[in-house]
Amino acid sequence: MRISFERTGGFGNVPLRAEIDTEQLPPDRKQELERLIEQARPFDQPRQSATATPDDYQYEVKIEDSSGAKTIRTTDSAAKDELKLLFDGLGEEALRKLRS
Amino acid sequence: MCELHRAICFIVPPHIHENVTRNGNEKQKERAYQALNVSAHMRGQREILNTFAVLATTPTGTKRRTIYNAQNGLTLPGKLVRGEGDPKSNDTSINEAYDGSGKTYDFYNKVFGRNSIDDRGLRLDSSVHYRRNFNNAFWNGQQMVYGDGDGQIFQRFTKIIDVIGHELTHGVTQYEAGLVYQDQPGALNEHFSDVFGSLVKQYAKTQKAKQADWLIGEGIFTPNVHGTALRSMKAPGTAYNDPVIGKDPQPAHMKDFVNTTSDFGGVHINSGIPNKAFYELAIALGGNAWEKAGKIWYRTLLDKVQPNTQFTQCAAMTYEVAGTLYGTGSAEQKAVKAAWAVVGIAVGTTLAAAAAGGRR
Repeated sequence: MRISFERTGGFGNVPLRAEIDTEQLPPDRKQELERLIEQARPFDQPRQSATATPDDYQYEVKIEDSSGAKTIRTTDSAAKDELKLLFDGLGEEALRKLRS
Repeated sequence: MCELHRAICFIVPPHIHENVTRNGNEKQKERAYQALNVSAHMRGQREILNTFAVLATTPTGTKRRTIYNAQNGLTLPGKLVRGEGDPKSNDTSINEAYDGSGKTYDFYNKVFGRNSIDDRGLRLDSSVHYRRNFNNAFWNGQQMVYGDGDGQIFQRFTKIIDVIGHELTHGVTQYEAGLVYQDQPGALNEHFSDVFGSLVKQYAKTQKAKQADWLIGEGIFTPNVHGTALRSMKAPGTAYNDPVIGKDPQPAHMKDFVNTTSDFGGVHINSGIPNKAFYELAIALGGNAWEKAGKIWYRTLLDKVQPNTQFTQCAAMTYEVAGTLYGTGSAEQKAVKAAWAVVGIAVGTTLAAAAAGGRR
C-alpha cells in the first residue's frame, strides 16, 4: 500500500509531506498503519462542513493499493476520532521518514 | 441544543454555579463549571443574546479561567484540573495555560477596557495535553486547545505566551469582526492574532516597541531545528530555515504575495505582509506599541473590519481610524500611511478610501 500524506496549516504552518510505502516498513509499523486505516475507514466519511476553525490542520491523503487509488481531503476538526488517530499515525511515520 | 434547553440553562443563576465551583465536591464543581460554560458561551452569541437579553445579564470585570487536562486523549475539554483562584498545579502546562490566559485577560482589560473574549466576561477555557505528540494549538470556537509538541520539532505550546495571546485573540476576532478563515480575510484573522499575541507578550514584559523581538513562537522549536521562532513580524520570511522543516515562507511585501490552496489559502503565509506593516508603524510611533499602534488596530477590528475584508480595505480602515483617533493629517495617520507603503499597499487616496467601506 502506498500512501501520499500532506498536512498543512496549524498554528505553525510547518507543512509535513511524505510518501509512505507500507511494504517498506517494519512489520509492526505496517500492521499498525493498516489497523488505523481499517478502523478509520477514511473513504467512508460523510461530507464535511466547509467552515474552518483558526489554526486547524488541513490534510490531503491519497491511499493506493491493488484495488486503485483514493484521496481524502479534510480538516482536523471535521474528522472523526478514528480518522484523527490515523492522521496522527501517518504524521509520525512521515516525520520519521523526513528525519531519516 | 434546543431553544428550550438553552433557556433552561439560565434558570439557575450564574452566581449559584460559581458558589458551587468554590465549595462543592469535585463532581459538583465539574457540573457547575459545565453549566457556567454553556451560559457564558451563549452570552457571547449575539443572536441568542437578543432572545435572552434579560436572562443573559452577568457580572462584569471578572477574570475567570478554567484549565482542563485532555490526558493525551481526543475528548475535549477533558478533566477539570484548575479553576480561578485555585492553587498551582504540579503540572507545568496547566500552570502556563492558567498564567498565560490571565496575562492575556489583563492585557485586554487594562489596555482596552475589554472584559474577556466577548467583552461580557466569557470564561477562558483551556485544555492542555491534547492528543499525543500533538504539534499544534488552536481555538475551536469555544476554547483554547494545546498540544505537548512531539519533542523533535516542537516543544509544548503553552510555553509561549504569545501563542496563548494569539489563540485568545482568535476568539476576540470571532466575536467582533467574524473574519472568514480563508484567503486574505483569513490572513487578516491570523494577522490580528499575531499582533495582539505579540502585544500581550510586550505588555507582560513591559517592553517598548524597539525593545521587543517581534517574534511569534520564539522558543517553540526544539534545539534540533535551525530557527528562532515560527514567524517574524519585523522580518517576515526569516524566522527559520531548516533542512527538515524547510524555510519560513512568509512574504513581507505585496509583490511576493503567495497564491496557494493549502493552509486555507495561505492564511499563515500572507499574514506576513500586514504583520510587517504593523511592525513598521509601531517602530515609527515609538513608545509602547499597544498605546497607539495597538489602539488603532483594536478599534479597526471592533468598528470597521467585516467578515470578508481584504488587505487594501483593512489598510484604508486603519488609516481612517488613525484620523478619527488622532486627527486628520496627524503624525499618527501619516505614519499609518507610510507603514502600509513599506509593504506595497497605498492608503489615503480616493481609491483606497472607496475601498474601505467598513462598518460605521
